[in-house]
Amino acid sequence: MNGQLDVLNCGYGHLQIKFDKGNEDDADKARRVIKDMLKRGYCLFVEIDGEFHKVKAFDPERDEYILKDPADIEVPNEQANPAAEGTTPATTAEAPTDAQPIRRVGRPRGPSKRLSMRTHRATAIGPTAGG
Amino acid sequence: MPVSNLPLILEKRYPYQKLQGFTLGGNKEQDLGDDVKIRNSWYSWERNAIVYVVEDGGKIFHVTVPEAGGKKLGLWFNTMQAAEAWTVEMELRALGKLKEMIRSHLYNAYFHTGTFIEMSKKTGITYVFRRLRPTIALTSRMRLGLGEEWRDDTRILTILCLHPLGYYGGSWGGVMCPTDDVIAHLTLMRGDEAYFWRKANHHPSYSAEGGL
Repeated sequence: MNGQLDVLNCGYGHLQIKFDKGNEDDADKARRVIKDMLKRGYCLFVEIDGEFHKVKAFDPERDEYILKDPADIEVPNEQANPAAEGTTPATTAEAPTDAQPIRRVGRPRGPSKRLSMRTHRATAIGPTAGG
Repeated sequence: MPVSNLPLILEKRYPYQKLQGFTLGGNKEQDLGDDVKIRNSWYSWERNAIVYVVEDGGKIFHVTVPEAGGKKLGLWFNTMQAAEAWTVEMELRALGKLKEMIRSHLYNAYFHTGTFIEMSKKTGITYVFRRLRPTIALTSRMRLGLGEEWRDDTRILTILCLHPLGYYGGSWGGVMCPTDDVIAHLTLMRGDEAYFWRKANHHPSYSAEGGL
């Protein structure tokens, strides 16, 4: 399946970028556009089976939308070391022992979800001006 | 067509230039001076108007500004003016995209009436998406207070107005074509409903800006 990027815009209507195999010009254009849009406060949503998921970041090296907080990606060792989770001063009064379960707070963090720009459809919406 | 209490401001190249600056019924607004202060204001359901309590040089009086009639007609005509920023081609392209996003019977309803309805899977709130009007948020369950039982009753929660990039003041039109604004509302509702509510302006149902 070929990916597509729709950018809602004024002027000539919404911009459509379709990714065809072997056409690197469109891919380069899309990378620039996506990076610029995220910098300017645009909201990007990727469509998966009819549902829309908000894009948190973009990886231009791998041409992938990142659907979770980038901080989850940068510390993959947290999953291998569960004792390190939830051990902030606000959550624990003393160091956990083998008999005491570690109290976890907040939304559970899992592996970041990445989707290829070239095979998924995304829609970009500009920052709101009110109404 | 001129409206009450609103001067008709036309773009210089717009037709019907003989109506430029004309106000139906004359200008009945008081000339507010520098010492004028608005002490309070509220909406009157009985009068369908905003009531202002004004203090001017120690004298206190009230002014009533209707929410219907001229004010709504003013929004209509301002919106018509905003249509100069759009082209048929951009609207057709937006319609093509919307057709892929919603079911055929909903697209049929939108094409003919400018309106379609979708319920949020996350919150259960029903949204009425409209072309060139703010989106209405409805709930189908309500209760009169804590401890009361929930009952099935439809009521308007709020009316959400949001234009990406820009809009034309005093109108319902944004800088994007009307269906692109609808697509933006629909996408935000599906993708990040909390953000949609947070960023949109909330108009009460009685206000002219709400478009009801």
